Amino acid sequence: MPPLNKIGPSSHRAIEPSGEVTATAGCYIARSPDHPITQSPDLPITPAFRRFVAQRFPAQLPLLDNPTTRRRFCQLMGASLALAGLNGCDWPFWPGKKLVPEVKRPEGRSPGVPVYYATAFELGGAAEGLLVKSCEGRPIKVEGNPQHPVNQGGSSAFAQALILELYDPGRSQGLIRRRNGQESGATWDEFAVFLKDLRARIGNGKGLHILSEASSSLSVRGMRACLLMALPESTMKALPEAKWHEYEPLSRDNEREGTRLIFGRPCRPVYHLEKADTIVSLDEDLLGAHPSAITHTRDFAARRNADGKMNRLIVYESAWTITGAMADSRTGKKPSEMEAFVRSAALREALAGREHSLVAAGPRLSAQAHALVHLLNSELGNRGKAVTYVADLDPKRPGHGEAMSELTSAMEKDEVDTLLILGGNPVYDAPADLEFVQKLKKVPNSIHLSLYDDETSRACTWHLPRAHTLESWGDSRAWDGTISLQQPLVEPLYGGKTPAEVLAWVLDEPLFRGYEIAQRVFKEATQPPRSDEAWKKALHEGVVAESFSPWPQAGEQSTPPERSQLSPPAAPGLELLFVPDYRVYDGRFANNGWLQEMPDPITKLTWDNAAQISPETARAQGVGHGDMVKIELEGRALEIAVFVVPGIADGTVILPLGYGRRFGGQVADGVGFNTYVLRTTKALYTASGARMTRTGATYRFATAQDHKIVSAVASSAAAARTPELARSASLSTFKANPNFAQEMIEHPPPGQRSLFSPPHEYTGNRWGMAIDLSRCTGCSVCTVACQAENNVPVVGKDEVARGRRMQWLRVDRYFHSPHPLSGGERGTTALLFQPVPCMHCEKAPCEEVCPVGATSHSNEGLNDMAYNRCVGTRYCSNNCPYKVRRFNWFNNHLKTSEAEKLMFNPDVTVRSRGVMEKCTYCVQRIVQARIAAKLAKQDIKDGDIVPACAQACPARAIVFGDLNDPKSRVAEWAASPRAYGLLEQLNTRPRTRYLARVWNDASGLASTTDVPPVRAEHGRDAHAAGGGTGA
Amino acid sequence: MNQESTAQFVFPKWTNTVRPAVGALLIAAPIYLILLIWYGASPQALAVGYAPVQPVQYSHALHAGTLGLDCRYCHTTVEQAAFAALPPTQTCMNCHVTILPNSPRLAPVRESYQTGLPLQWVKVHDLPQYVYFNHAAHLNAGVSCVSCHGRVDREEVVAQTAPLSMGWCLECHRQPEPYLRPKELVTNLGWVPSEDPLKLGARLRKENNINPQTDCSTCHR
Repeated sequence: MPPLNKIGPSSHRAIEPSGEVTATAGCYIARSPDHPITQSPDLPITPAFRRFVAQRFPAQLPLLDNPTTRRRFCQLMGASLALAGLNGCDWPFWPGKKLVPEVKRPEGRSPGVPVYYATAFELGGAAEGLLVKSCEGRPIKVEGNPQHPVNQGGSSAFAQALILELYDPGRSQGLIRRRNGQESGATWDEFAVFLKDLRARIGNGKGLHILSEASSSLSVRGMRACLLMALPESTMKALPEAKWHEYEPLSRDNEREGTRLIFGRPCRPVYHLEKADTIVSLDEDLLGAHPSAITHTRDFAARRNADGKMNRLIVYESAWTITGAMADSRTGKKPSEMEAFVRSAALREALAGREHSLVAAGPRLSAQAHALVHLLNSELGNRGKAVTYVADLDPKRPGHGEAMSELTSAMEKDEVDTLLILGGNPVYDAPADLEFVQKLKKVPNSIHLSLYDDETSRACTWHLPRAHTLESWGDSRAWDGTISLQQPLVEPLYGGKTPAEVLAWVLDEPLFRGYEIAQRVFKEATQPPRSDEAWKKALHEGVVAESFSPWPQAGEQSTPPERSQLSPPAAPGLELLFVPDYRVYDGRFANNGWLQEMPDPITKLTWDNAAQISPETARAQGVGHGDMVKIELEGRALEIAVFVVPGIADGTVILPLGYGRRFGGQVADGVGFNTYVLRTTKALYTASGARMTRTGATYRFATAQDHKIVSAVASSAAAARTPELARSASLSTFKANPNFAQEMIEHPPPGQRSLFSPPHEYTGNRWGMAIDLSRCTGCSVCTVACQAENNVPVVGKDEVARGRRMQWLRVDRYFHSPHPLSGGERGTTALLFQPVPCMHCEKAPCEEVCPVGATSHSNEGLNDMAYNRCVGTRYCSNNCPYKVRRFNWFNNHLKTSEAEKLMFNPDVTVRSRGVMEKCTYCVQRIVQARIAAKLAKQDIKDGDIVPACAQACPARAIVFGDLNDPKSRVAEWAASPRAYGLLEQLNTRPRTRYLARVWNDASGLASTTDVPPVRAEHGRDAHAAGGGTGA
Repeated sequence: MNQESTAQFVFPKWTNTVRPAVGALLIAAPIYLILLIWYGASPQALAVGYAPVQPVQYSHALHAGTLGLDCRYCHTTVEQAAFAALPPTQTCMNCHVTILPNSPRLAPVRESYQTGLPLQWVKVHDLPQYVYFNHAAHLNAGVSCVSCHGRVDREEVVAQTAPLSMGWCLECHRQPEPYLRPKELVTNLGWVPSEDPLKLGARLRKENNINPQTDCSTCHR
C-alpha cells in the first residue's frame, strides 16, 4: 500500500511559471517597433491590434491593459540576458552527470523498476478503473485496471491522455483572486480567512449555493451530507440552509426520467451486450459515448465471431457514431423522426418473438421514448438478461437543466451571496438562454475549483486550483455501481485540492484531507464498518468486489405513457443535434494535445469541430465542404465550417460540443467553434427550425485522411481500391466461401521469390500481430496509447494539414457506399475502420533503401529502427507502401516544458529532428519480457508481451505474439481463413495480418441481399501448385 | 656572366633529399592526422581512464578488496534489475555508526544521513541515452562485473577501464565464450578459470542457452 510519502524526489520539482506573459509581450514589441517600450502607459493600442491579440492570444488580452506586466517583462528579460552570460562559464564542457541514490530506500523499491498503482478516473459521474505506471515517482502511463469490471484491461482515450493533462503546463498553478477588475495571486491561508468571514456572515448557510459537476464519489457525498445536514454524531458545524445544485452539460437525465416514469423511481439501466443476439440502438452510442462504452465494446466484440454465434447490431441514428459504424444495419433518421419511430409500433412488431435481444435508447431521446423502450425490453423478456437496473445514487436530484435553471433564477433574484462551483465550467457550457455569466456578475462571492483558470474562473472572484485525478485521494462508482478507490500517484504539483477537500475547508475542517475522507467514508459505508485490511485490499486492487447494488427487479409501478402521445412536430428547417465529441468530450479535454490531434473516428478531423451534414443536405442548402456558414436558431447565431459526411440523416446538422474555448489554455484557445451558443434549456440535445446561410468565407480543415488525393482519377482509383484494403463480406458470403478475403485479389504464392535479401531463418521467436476488423470500432484509443507509450510528439494543426502527423498508429476510415448489405440501395453507407501500425514486412522495402543501415531486420522478424544511425534521407518512407513511417521535421520535443518532460517513458528514446521513426511493436516491452523470461529461466509465454495498442483496446481487436508458436493466439488468428495481408500483392509479406470484417446479414430488420465481394479471378489451382504470377 | 655568380643560384646538392622528404611528409601527415583524430576522439582515448573526483573519498580497494565485501552488498539490485542501484546513505551508515563514526572523510555521509539530502555521486560509466543496458541480463548469463568495470577491487578512485563503445560491446555479443563464467562467480573479480576459458565458455554457453543478440533493437529502442 503506498502511503502519501512514497513519492519520488522528482515529483517535487518546482515548475516554472509558464512563459505566456513574455510570449505576448515579445509579440507585441515585435509588432510595434516605432514605439519605445519604456513609454508603456502611452502605447497606442489600436483596435486592430486588440482584435489581433483577442484572436491569437485571447488569454493574454487582459495584459494589454496592465502596463506593469510589460515593465516586469523587460526587467526579467534583462536579468535573463545577464544570467545567460554566466552559463558559458561551465567547466568542463560535458559536466559529469550525477547519480543520486536515496538516503533511505523504501523497502521493495528498485531504482528504474516501475511501480503500478490502481486508481480510478471519473467522467460525468461514472468511473473507470485504472492501473498507472510510475517511474521514480513520476506517473508515465495509464492502463485500464485488469481487475476492474468495467475496464478489464482496456481503457478510454480520455484515460490514456490523463498523463498529458497531469503535466500540462497550462494548468492553473495557484489561487487567483479577482476583485474590481484586478487580479492577484492568493494563498490557501487567505482563502481560509475568507471562509471564516463567510461562515460568520451566513450563519446557517443561507445564501450559500454550491454548483457541482456530477460525481458518484462517496467522499463528496459524505462531505455534502455533513454540510447540508446537521448530523447528530458529527462535530462539524453544518450549514443546513445551503443549496446544492448539480449540473453536467452532457447528461443522461432523459434516460433517468424514463425509468422514473416506468418504475416510479430513477435507476440506471446496465446493458449486458454479450447476452443479446440482436441489439437495437436508437441513437444510443453504446460503444462510444456511453459511460460504460468500454464494457459494451468488449462484450459486443466478443460476439462478433463469424465462426460462432454472431450478434447482430441494428442502429437508427441521426449522427454518425462508432456504434453506427459497427452496425450490420444502420438507418439515418432525423432527430424528430427518431422520436416518432420509437413511439411507433414498427420496432415493436419487428422485434416481436425474438429471443435474447436488447433495445437501447440514447440520451438525446425524450423521457417518454425511454419509458417506452424500457417497456419494450420488458415485453421482449430482456429485463434481467441483457438489461438490468441499478439504483440511482441520488433519486431526489432534479435534472441537470432544471438545477441550472433554479440556480440562475436564484442568482437573478440576488438570493445567492456565495456561489461555490466545484469543477465544471458553467460559463462556457451552461445553456445559452440562462445567461449564466451575466447572472454570475450579480453574485458577490463566487469560487471556482478547476484544473484550469478557465472561462468560469475568470468570471469568479476566487479561482482555486483543483487536484488532478492522478493527484487525488477519493473514490467513485462505475456506471454499474462498482466502487473504485482513487489514490494519488504524485503529490499535487500545484497545491491543488479535491472537491471533497474544499468542502472540508468550507466546514472549517482543513486538516480533514482527501485520504482521511476517503478512508472514513469507505469504512463507514457498510454495517459493520469495513476493516483496515479491507481498505488496504481495496486500495491495492482499485476496486471493491461486489460493491454494486442491483436494483430489485420489481415490476412497473407507474402507468406507461401513452404511445399515441406524439412529440411536438418539428419546426420546418434544419434540425440540429448536439453531440459529445470523441476527443474533448464536453470541452474539458480541450487543452490536451494528444486528444486534439487524435483524429475523430468518423470525420478524421483533428484540431477542430465542424457542422457535419450529409451531401444531400449540402446540396439542398447550397453549401460545400469547408464553407463557413451561419446557423441561426431562435435569434441566436453561430458561424461554423461545414464538413460533409455521407450517411448523416438528411436535413440534420450535427454539432459536436466542446470547442471554441476562449480561456481553455494555450492548446485549446481558438480551436474549433463553440456550439454551446445555440444550446438552450428547451433544446439541450436537439433543436429544429434552424436556418443555414453561407457567409462566403471558407475554412481549412486538418484531416488525417483524404488529404493527398489530387485528381478525380486518383480519387476514384482510391475508392475502387478501398474494398481490397479493408476487406469485408456478409456472414452468408463468409459461410459460402470462408476464404473470401484471401481470394479477393491476386497475391503471390508463399514460395514467391523476392528481389530483396535472402530469407531470414527464425529459430527462436517470430513476432507478429493480427488485427480483427470485425472487432475494431475505430475508437482510436490505440493511437493515444501508442503516443503515450512511445513519447510521440504533438505537431499541431498546420503540420497535420501538411500530412506530417507523428502518430505511429493510425486508424484508417473507409466509407462503403452503398452498404454491402443494403442490396445496392442508394444513400446507404457503411463505415470500416482499419488500424495501420508498421507491418514489419518480411521483405521490407524500407530496409533495402536505407543508405546507412539505420533500419534493419532483426532475427525475431522485427523491422528495427536505430535512431542514432538515421541521417534523414527519407528513402525508407518513400519506399514504404503502407506509409507508416514518420519523419521528425522539427525538434518537436524542444518545445516540451519542464513539466511535460517528466512524462516521458524512460524506456523509449526521445527522437530529435531529422530522424525517421515508426511503430516498433513496442520493442521495449518485448525486450523486457525477454529478459524477465531469461531471468526466470523460462520461455516467453503467449500473452507476456502486450503492446500498448493491444493493451488499451477495449474490443481486444489486436493480438500480438509469437508466430512460431502454433498455439499462440496470433498464430491462430493469422491462420484464420479471414486473415489477409495489406497490399500483399507487392510481395512485402506483411507480418501484421488483418482479419476481414464480417457483417451479420441474418434475416429481419434489414435487407439480406449481398454484393459478392470477390473481384478478381483467383486461380485456385495455380495457387495450390505454388505457381502464380506474383508481383 | 661568370660561373661563380651563377653558382649562387643553383640549389646545393643536399637539397635533392628534400623532395622525397617533403613527399613522405605529405603522405604521412594526413595519415597521422587521421590516426590522431581516429584515436583521439575514440572512447578508448576519451573515456578510458575517466576518474572524476567523488563527493566522498570512498575506496573500493579497501571495501571490496581488502575487506572483501561482495559487490552486491551495496549494489543490491544488480541481479534483478537493469540498474545496479547505488547504495542509499543508509547502507553506509549500517556499519559507520560504529566503525569510524567520527572520520572526517565520512562527514558528507553523516551529513546526508542527518539532513535527508542525498549524496550526489559523479557518474563514471555513462552510456549514451539511446543505449539500454541491463545489468541483470548480463550477470545472470555469467558475465562478470570485471568484464566491463575492471578490477574495481583494486581502485582507490573508480575509473573507467573499458571503452564501452558499440564495437566493444559487439565483440562479446558475437563471441561471448571468453567472458563467461559460472554465475555464482560473477562478483569474484579476481577469479581465473582453471581450464581453457574458451572451452569453459563454450560449455557454459551451451548449458545456460546463452545467445546474445546483435540486432539493433537489442540495445536501441
